[in-house]
Amino acid sequence: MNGSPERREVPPLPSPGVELPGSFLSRIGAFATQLAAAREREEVGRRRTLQGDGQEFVGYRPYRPGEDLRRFDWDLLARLDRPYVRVHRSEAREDWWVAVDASASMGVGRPGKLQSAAEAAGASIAVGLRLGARITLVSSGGEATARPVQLTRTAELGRGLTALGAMSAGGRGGLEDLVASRGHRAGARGCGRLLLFGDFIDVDPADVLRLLGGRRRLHLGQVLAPEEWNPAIAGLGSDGADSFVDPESGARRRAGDDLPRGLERYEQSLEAFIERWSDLAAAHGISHRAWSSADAFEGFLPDLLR
Amino acid sequence: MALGILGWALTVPGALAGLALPLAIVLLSFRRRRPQLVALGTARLFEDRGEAAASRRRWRLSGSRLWAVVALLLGILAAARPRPAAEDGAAYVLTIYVDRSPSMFLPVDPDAPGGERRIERALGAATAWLAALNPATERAVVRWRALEDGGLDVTLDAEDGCPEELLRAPSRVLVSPRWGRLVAPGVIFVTDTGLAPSALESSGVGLFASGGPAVPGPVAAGGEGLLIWSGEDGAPLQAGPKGEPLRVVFNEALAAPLRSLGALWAEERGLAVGGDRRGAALILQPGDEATEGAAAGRGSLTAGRDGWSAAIGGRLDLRDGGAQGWSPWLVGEDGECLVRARRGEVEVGFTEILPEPASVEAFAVSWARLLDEHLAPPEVVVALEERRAAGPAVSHEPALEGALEPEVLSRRARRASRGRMAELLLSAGAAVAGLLALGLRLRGSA
Repeated sequence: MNGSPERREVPPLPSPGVELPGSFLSRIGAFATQLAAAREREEVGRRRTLQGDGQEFVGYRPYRPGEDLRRFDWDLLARLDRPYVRVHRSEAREDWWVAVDASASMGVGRPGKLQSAAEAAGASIAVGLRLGARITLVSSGGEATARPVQLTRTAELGRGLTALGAMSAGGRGGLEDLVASRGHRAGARGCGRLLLFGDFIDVDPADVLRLLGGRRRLHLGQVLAPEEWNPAIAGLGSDGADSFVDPESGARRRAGDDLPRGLERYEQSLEAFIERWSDLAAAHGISHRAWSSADAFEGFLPDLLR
Repeated sequence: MALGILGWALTVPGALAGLALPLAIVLLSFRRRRPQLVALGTARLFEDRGEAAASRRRWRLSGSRLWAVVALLLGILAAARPRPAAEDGAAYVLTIYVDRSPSMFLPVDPDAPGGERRIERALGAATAWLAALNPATERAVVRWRALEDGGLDVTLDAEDGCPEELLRAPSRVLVSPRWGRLVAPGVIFVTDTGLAPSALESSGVGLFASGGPAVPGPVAAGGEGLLIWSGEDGAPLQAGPKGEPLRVVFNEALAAPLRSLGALWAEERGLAVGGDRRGAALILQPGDEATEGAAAGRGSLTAGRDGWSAAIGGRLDLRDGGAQGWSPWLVGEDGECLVRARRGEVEVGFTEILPEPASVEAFAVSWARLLDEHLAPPEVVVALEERRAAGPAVSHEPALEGALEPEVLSRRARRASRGRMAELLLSAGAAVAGLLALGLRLRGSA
């Protein structure tokens, strides 16, 4: 960080709240159904990330170093001279931990980042409940302290959506508060799948990696506002906007006299930032997707949940 | 009025009022702008490119505004129509025609016969205007012309005033000038009666007229004395007190036909004949004896005018016909002046004349008219038309633009050409700067 950014009051956020209309419920229902049907059509043996280690045998897949040798199929090794493991549908209920960043920076954008993250989280919850998972919904930041919401049945999806709809972007505590906090990490212990939705601006990758362990799957949904992807659309260059403000810290950054050069450097920094998370995820078997808050969740969520 | 800057003059200095616009833009740039903020969660990814600079200065003239100011400045300078300043000042050539008809020598105030005359008042107004010219910018030379044959024609600087000779009454009666044929750029009329103002405006000539009320007094003289005009139009003339009749003198050496004709003419007019030359209203006399050499080359000749002809002999010398107010009246075939006249005098260049019998009547009428025209009544007699009221005084300055010296006009044309080039360059510069400002604006570099 260059210079010494000054602290000033933060201007009103453009999209601080979440609005989930009644049609959203049917939308995520259709999405969950389509995602489950697609998975059913996948061939046996293909990597199916939403499957756990239950008792119903569904096929084989190549062995990965470090896996539990109790799932190793010795017969196939003898016949094919290649290591395979047996894959079973999880019959035991899996626990999902869904965390949504509701800090002030999530109130940026039209539509807002929090709106997009809430929609993605709601659709994920619908999928999880469809698969029989137990869901714990938590959020960081926010205008009001939110208690974790436990969801165990599909019928409770509405309660989850209500919790999501009540979220409001504010405060400085982002995902980092959730992943770095011992208390929250303890809450996530025992969950087979952790889904984190936020901009990951203030998140320490090391704290994210601490969430890994065992066969736990980690899904990082990174949402940025359209003007964060391309600040030029925010009216820069006109008589008006010439400075950027961090909605959490109030720190201001001036674009400088050479705006095109400033934007170019920003794009380079943003690309490096996204790549850092993408590389981190690839290196540790983490699912990671970055999208714009203007994107519909149906486009990116299947890949994120895969 | 032009405004001079660094050797250049702005012919439309009012255009500089437009400087308020770029000045306003610059002043607005001093206004501390409230930063327009865009909330970005990724704001920290921006390098802080302007914070330090912004803290050092309170204002910023952006590229587009800077070029807009430049464009406005250049455009305003072009609109002010710059021209190279005139180093030589203007040089005007003025011609002042002075009316010296009898009315000009009448008093302005009829009750003060010895007071200021109309010619003095009119010339005073003209010289006052000339003295008011700025020698630095309105240097003028003045050609003073008396409107009489062989009259004064002298050129002076404007500050030298008018020649004194103009104030002296001419030796013979002059008629009022025909101004229309004298209208030209740089012409000024000095007279007593104002011309039509619209004619002045359209022609651009100057006029300084004394004006003045009607001046009662003698308007004619004859054998019975003076005829007095009361000053009222239409009033009958009054006979003045009887005095000595006008007297004419006919020289004894004149040719006999002329002497007898003169006697008849004087008798008809009631004039006394003979006596002292001094005080005579008209003297009819022969010229000087011809020198031997000149006389040898001269023989008899035939000359005539007005329908008569006569044999002439006994030639005498006449001096130059045009000098000292003399006007030739009868000229021989070789151009030699045979008879000349001026107010109160007729001089004959021969001792013998024998008119053709067939033209005796024309001979008599022609000579009688000559004597009538040069009969000099007393100075107090002024024609009635001259004594009429001249109306109000008029002072109308001439249009100087047309009175410039040709060389000055040429220099001005060259300066105008350079000025137009400067205008063109300034306009082009303004257009380029304006386009730059627009381009920067459209690019978003506000």
